[in-house]
This record gives sequence, C-alpha cells and structure tokens, in this order.
Amino acid sequence: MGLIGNALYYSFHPMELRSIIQWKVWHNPPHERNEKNETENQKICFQFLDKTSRSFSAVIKELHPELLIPICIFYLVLRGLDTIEDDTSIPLATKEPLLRDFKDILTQDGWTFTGNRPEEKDRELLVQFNHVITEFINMKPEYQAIIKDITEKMGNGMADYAVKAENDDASVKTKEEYDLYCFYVAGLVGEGLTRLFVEAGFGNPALLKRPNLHKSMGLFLQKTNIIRDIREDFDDNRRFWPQEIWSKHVDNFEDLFKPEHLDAALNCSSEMVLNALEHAEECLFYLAGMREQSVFNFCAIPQSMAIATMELCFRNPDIFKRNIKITKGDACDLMHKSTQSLSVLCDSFRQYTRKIHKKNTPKDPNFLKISIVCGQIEKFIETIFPTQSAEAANRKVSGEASAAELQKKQEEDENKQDVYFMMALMGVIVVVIASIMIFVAWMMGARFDLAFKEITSGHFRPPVKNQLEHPEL
Amino acid sequence: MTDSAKKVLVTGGTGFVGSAIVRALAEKHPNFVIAVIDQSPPRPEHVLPERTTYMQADITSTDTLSKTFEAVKPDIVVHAAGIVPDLAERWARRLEQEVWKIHFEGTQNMLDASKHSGVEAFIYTSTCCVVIDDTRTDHLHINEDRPLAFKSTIYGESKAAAEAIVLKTSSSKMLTCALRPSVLCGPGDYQLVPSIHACIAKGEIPFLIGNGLNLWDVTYVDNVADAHVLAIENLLTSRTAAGEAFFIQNNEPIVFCDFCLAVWAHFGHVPPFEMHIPKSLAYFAGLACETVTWLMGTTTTLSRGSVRDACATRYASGNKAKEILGYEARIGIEEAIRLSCERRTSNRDEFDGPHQFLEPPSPQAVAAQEKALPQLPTNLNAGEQDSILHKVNDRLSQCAYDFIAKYQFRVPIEQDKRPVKVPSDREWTEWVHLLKRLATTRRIPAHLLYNRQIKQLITVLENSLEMRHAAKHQSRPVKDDRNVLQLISAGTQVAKILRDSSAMQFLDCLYADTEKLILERRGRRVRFANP
Repeated sequence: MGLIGNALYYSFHPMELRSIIQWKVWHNPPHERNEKNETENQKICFQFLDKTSRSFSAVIKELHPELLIPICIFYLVLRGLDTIEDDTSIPLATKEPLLRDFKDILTQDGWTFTGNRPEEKDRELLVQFNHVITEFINMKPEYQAIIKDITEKMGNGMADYAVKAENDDASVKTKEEYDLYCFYVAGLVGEGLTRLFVEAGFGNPALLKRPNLHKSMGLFLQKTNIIRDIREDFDDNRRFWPQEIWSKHVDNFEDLFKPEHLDAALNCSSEMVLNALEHAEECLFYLAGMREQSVFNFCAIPQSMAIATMELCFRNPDIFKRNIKITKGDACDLMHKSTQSLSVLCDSFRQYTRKIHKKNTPKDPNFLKISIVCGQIEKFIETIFPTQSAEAANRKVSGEASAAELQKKQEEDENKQDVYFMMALMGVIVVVIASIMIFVAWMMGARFDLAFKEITSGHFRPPVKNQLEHPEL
Repeated sequence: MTDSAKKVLVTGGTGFVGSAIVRALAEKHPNFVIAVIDQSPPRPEHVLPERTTYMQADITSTDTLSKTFEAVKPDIVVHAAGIVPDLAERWARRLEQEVWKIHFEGTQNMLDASKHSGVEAFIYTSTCCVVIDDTRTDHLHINEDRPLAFKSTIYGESKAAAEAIVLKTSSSKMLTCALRPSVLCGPGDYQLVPSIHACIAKGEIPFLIGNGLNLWDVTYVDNVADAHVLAIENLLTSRTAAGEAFFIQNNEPIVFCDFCLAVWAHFGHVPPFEMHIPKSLAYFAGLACETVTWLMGTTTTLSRGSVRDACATRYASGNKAKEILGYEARIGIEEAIRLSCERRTSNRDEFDGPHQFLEPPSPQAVAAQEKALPQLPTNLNAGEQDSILHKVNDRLSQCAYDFIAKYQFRVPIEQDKRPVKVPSDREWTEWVHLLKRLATTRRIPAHLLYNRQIKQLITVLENSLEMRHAAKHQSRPVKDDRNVLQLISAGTQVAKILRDSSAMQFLDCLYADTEKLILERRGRRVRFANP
C-alpha cells in the first residue's frame, strides 16, 4: 500500500488509525535504554538486535536495565544458533558439532564464523559474533549459566533434528513430536527467560516449579506461527502440521491447498487452532506470576498478538493462499492493552476468544471441543478476575449497600452539592452583570418606562419605517 | 468402611438420578444393601441392579415412611426424590403447592424418620437452582458462599428451603450434606436433550436466542452419581462434608447454543444458517407464544421463562467439591452429549445396526398424497353409532366373560376395581387387555380357539377396539360408515375365534342390519339430491 492506499484504508478504519496514534503518542515505556552509558560494544549488539528481529527489538529495549543486556544477548545467541541450523549449505559433519558445542563457543573470546552461505540473512551476526561473546562474558555468572544451559539444550535438540532430517523423513508425525519440536524452538526460550526473570527477582519463583506454564508460553507462540505460516512453509518445502492431525481431514498434505478440499482444510486448521488454544489458559496463569511491568509487557505483547493472529487464522481460507497478518491498527491496540495490567490483557484475551467462538460452526467435527476450550478460557479469566463476588451477591439479595457503594454514594452527593453551588454562583454573576448593564443604560438615558409600555401592548419589534416601501417616490 | 455391609435407602431411586446413584453405589460397594423407595415402580429405561429391593412409598405420607424405615432400618439415606416442573411450568406458580409439598414436607418427613430410626448419614440431592434461579444477580463461576434464592421459582425456592433444613439438622448423631447438581443430561433423561431434539422437528433450529456467549454448566448423570458415592464415603470416614453444600457439575461450562448445536449435529442436522435473536425480542416472542398456546391449549418450548433460561450465564466453581469430596467429572461433556443422544446399548435393536434408506418419493407423488383427505360416506348420526357400538361392546364383553368362565381362566384381582360378577363389571377394553395377557402369557391353549388361531386372536382383538381419543371428555367425532362396519366385523371375528356361535350370530345380524340402514339412507339421500 502506498501513501494514498494507506490514506484510503485509514479513512475507512478510523478506529485503527486512532489505535496507532494513541500508541505512538501515549505509550510510555516503563524503562528506556540509556544510550549514553552504553559501551561501543553494547551499541553494536543493539544494532544487531534491530537487524535480526523486527518484533522483539522494541520490547527488549524497554526492559528493566537489569535484564536489558542479558535478554538482548540471549536473543542474539539463539539467533546465531538458528542461523547455523537454518543454513542448508553447511554439511552435517560441520553443523552437528557446531550446534552441540555452541555453549562452549560462548566463552571463547573472539570467536567468529564465516561458513554461512552469502544469502543467509543473519550471516553478519556470526561474522561479528565476538561482540556478543564479549558482552556474554561481562554478564553476571548466574545469567551466564542460565543462557549456557538453554543453549546446550537447544543446540542438542537442533542437532538431533538435523541428523534425523539427513537420515530419514523429518516431517512431524504425531502430536507429541509436534509439541517436542515446538518445545525445542520456543519452549526452551520460555524456560530460559523464566529463569532469568526469577533470578532477577521479577518473576514469582513458583513459576519454576510449574514448568508446563512457561512451556505453554513458548508453545502457544510457536503454534500460532506454524498455523499462520502454513502457506509460506509449504512453499519452502517445510511441514510442521503433524500428520496425526491433517491425515484425519485429507489424504495428502498437498490437498490442504486445493480449492476442492477447502472444507476439509478449514476443519484441519481449526483442529490446529484447538490444539494451540489448549495452552492459552496456562499462558494467562504464567503472566499472573510477573512482578515487574517491563517484564510483563515483554511477555504479554507476543501472547496477545498470538491470540489475535489465531482469531484471524481461525476458519480463514486465506491462510492456505497467502501469508496473512493482523493489521497495524489492531497490533497497536493490542500492544496498548498488553502494557497495562493483567486484567486489561485478560479482557482482550476474552474478546478474541469470543470472536473465535462466534466463528465456530457445528459443521466442524471439533465444534464442541473448540466451544469447550473457549469456555474454559473464559472460566479461567473469571476465576482470576471475578465479575461479582459472593459478598456482593449476598448484599444484593439482602438489599444492603457495601462500604464502597456507600462511599460512592457519598461522593455522588458531594458532586451534586458542587454542581448546585456552581449553578448558584452563575446565577449570581448573571444578576450582577444584568444589573450593571441596566444601570449603564439608564445612565445613558434609556427610557425603560416607554419600552415596558410598548411590550405590554404587544409590540415586541420597533415599527417598520414606511418610506422604504416606495423608494422611487 | 467397605468391609461393613451398610444399609442404604435411596428415595426417588427408580428415577433418572436415583437409579444412577443406585447403580454407582452397587458398583463401588457391592456389599451394601440397597433399598429403593419411589412413587413409581422400576422403569425399563432406568435399570436398577439386581439385588436392589423396591418399595412403593410416598414421602409425603409419614405413616408409609415410618413403615418403610421400620422394614429397611437404613444406616445411610440418599434423598433424591423430587419433582422437576416442565419447562412450561418452571416459571409458573400453578404447581406451587404440589412442589412445596414434595420438596419441603417430604424432606422434613425424611429427616424426622431418619433421625428417629438412627440414620448415620443423610445425603440430600439438592440442585444448583437453589442459587441460580435468582435472576437478580449474575452467576459466573459462583461458589457455595452465594446466598440461597428464597425468591425465585417454585422449584428453586422449595429446594432451597428443604436444603436449609437438611443442613441445619446435621449433628454428630446424624451427619447431613447437600449436593447441588446443575442441569443433567444422560441416557433416560426426558427433559433436556429430548426437548432440544424436539426443536429439529418443530423447525426451530436456526433461531438461537441471545448473544451466543452465555456459559452453562451441564452434568452427566453418572458424574452426579459418583458425587453421591463420594459424599457417603466422606460422611462415613473423614466427615469433613457434614453440614455442607456442594456444587456438582462437569466443570466444563459450555455455551447453551453450542450445546443445542452439538445435539442437533449429533442427529445429523446442521442449521443452514444461524439467526441470533436479541434477548428482548425473544422475551416478547416468548410472551406471544405463551399467549397463543394458552389460547390453543398446547405447550411451547418458547416462553419468557425459557428465554430467561437460555440467555442466562450460569456456571459454578467445582473447587469445594474437589477439595472436600475429591469429586472430578469422570465423563467429559463431549462424551456425555454422545451418550445422551444415543440409545442405551441394552435397548439397541436392529435399527441401530447397518441400515438403508428408501428413495424418497417424487414431489408430485408427495403433493398428491398431501391433498385434502377424501370424505367417506357417513350416514349414521352420533347417537345411532353409539348405540351400535355399545351393542357390539356389550355383546363382546359377554362373549369374553363366557369364554373365561367356561375354561376357568384366572382374573387377577385389582385393588381399585371391583371383582367381576357380571360382564359389564369390566369395559370391553379391559376384557381385551385381559384376553391379550392370557394369550401372550400362553395361558390360553391354542386348541380352544377356532383353527388354533392364537396369533390372529390378538390382531382381531385390537381391531375390535374403537379408536380412543386423547382427551376422554372431548366429544367424539362421527365415524364413517366403513369404520362402523369394520368394528362390527372385527367383533364377529373375535366371536368366531373364541368359538361363540350365539355371539357370532348376534353380531352378524347387527352387521346386516347396519348395512341395510346405511344403504337405505344412501339411497334416500341420492333421491333427495336429484329430484
């Protein structure tokens, strides 16, 4: 869309434009990166962050200073790992040890890698990886240990996958394999981040005792991406939708993209959405454990984007044709709502859950299951933010007013008094000004007695002068 | 605890919930001795385990109750008896006295009798309606701290009052607790799923009331039964549930519309479109429907009350039941809907197996069939028909009396009927019933009948019955000539098979006379029409 296109679009979608303006104007980051105090090396790292990530760099840069560098470096390390894994030009014999030993590379000062093919988009990061390593070594040892551990797990997971892809078919068969794949790609990041948050004191330590919560955080995001990117992945010859799911609806994976199998494909995609929605409840549970605003924002923004994307993809035939995205206006609105509080976030979760619910159709074999999952999400939100407490209901039935209600009533009474006072004051001012005007008029010779007489005899206007009737005479 | 053979008394035990409780209890505690009391005898659709004893008793009568308690000497009482007013009566006040009598007085009687006979544990099957029928507040994820609704529906009020006295009675001598299940579904349920299913035939499918977002709790009947077993076990061991009420449900709240859509989808019906009717409009439509049906004397699924029900959000927290009773729904809602819609396995027949459908007839053929039915000649007036049919019935009653007396068959003595002295002590319909029972229980030897036609006897007996009308006191419409003649003819066949020559002669004469009369009339009318 060009400028004119944009102008047209937003003139028909004023609410979206409003959201964008609101976000741009009013968003107040909880913490801002202080560039003055940063070293040259740190600045280079942030440049890489901007280059490698579109969506994450903004939220990372608003993080609390304590976690700003660690999470930035964590992200770059994983991105480096990913760049090696993605590059099909690297032979397995080189790739496998590199992936498995990447955790040790993190402490090898000055390590760089130039083995990537030139078209690999994040090649430059590995070419200058020494900057990342320098920052990594400067970090608190606790953070280093966490990042190292996750790098090890992820590197091994990726290496296993690469070996499997080399030897036999690496396509995802069962739902367990699908979950495992998503766990390596995203669930582990969730684990690492959670440990960092708890270490820094920004997360409830209980989160570590319930690993399925942060696992769900990662899986929810990853599964949303996999559903949304079905067409793009298919064109790149990658298949992440598990066979266990698609084989229920179509005989061949390719059939999902054929118009004659559209109904089956939609049912298949809704089963994928159902599979992902099962994590939503745990994501909200996890977010309730965040103790710092910037960390909450960092976690909440991707989640609300995910549920909105899920809603967009649900029973949408376009996902099989092209890559679809939520609009910029919606994104800004979601970001705005994800940076307030859990209850605001829950409201937007509920809103999108209901939208999904409305699109659900009994033609779908998973109709009831989707309906139940949506119900569970609503019920869960109700458990953390009840609309009406038992005491309130008790009072309503017995007709008593609560302390809050009494206070509200009192405030309303006070407000009323204020309004009356203002009105009385206005009245007094009107009377005073009117008297002054009348007095001035009288001083200047106004004949109120004549005016009064004319009015009582019914002449409200001055008499019309007759000579205007025949001007030619 | 399971070692000791406890004696359990279940009220309402032949009903939908009661029988499920009995089954669950017998399965979990095979050494318990279970006695069931109910107004109505065991029904085929609600199977009871073999060793269960049944006694007919009315809980509103203290005399019968004390006799029952004397006989059973129960250690545990599960009070599941109650009456659920139909949808049409739910928000009305017409049945108020009856409902209060059963729920409140009945429960009071049960408590008195139980205390008197030394019952240890008393479980009351309450309902979530004791809270949610109060429409003044929302009911989202409610817990047991919510106030009881003493001003709601006749059902909710009376159950709430009964529950209150049950819980108040709890003491170390007799422990009580109350379970509040939500709307139930399951095989044998005659309210929820059948009324939703009925909407398909009425063409009410695509119209969904409300915003389609109101969540409801539904409970599968076996889950409720599990909760009862757990409550009994709790009161016999840890006793933490004493004096407490618990919401029992599947803990999978579901949008009411979706529940309906899922039921319809199960029967292969997917609405071609869905129309969401705003609540206010539906409310007035309900009012209109009520007025129309009040004038027509039929029943409606749509009424103001059912609109209020369909739009309400009602679901409860299952935390307390989980923590104290250890209750969790064993059968999920999806399975529950499937089971509720399917016929019970024991009732399965050849229609549930492989089957085929016939080619539907052409629209022209259907149109021809659906034309107004032709008028058959009717020459006898109602009085004449009555007198003829009376003659047939009287003669046949005499014939049946003679037959039974001749071969000395037994005539069961029934409480509310006088013993048979003359044929007219029983209606012809009752004689038919008796003869049919004698034939089907093989008490009539075939050789007594004409040509050993034992099977044909049943058919002709049925043919000889006059079509009865649904309402007894409605004026019956005039029968056509062919129908009258057919009834006489069937009677003749009965007499023939029973080998009663005199009756046969009488009926054949009556046939000839009637035929003659009809022909005469027809001839006259023809002449009259073409002068």
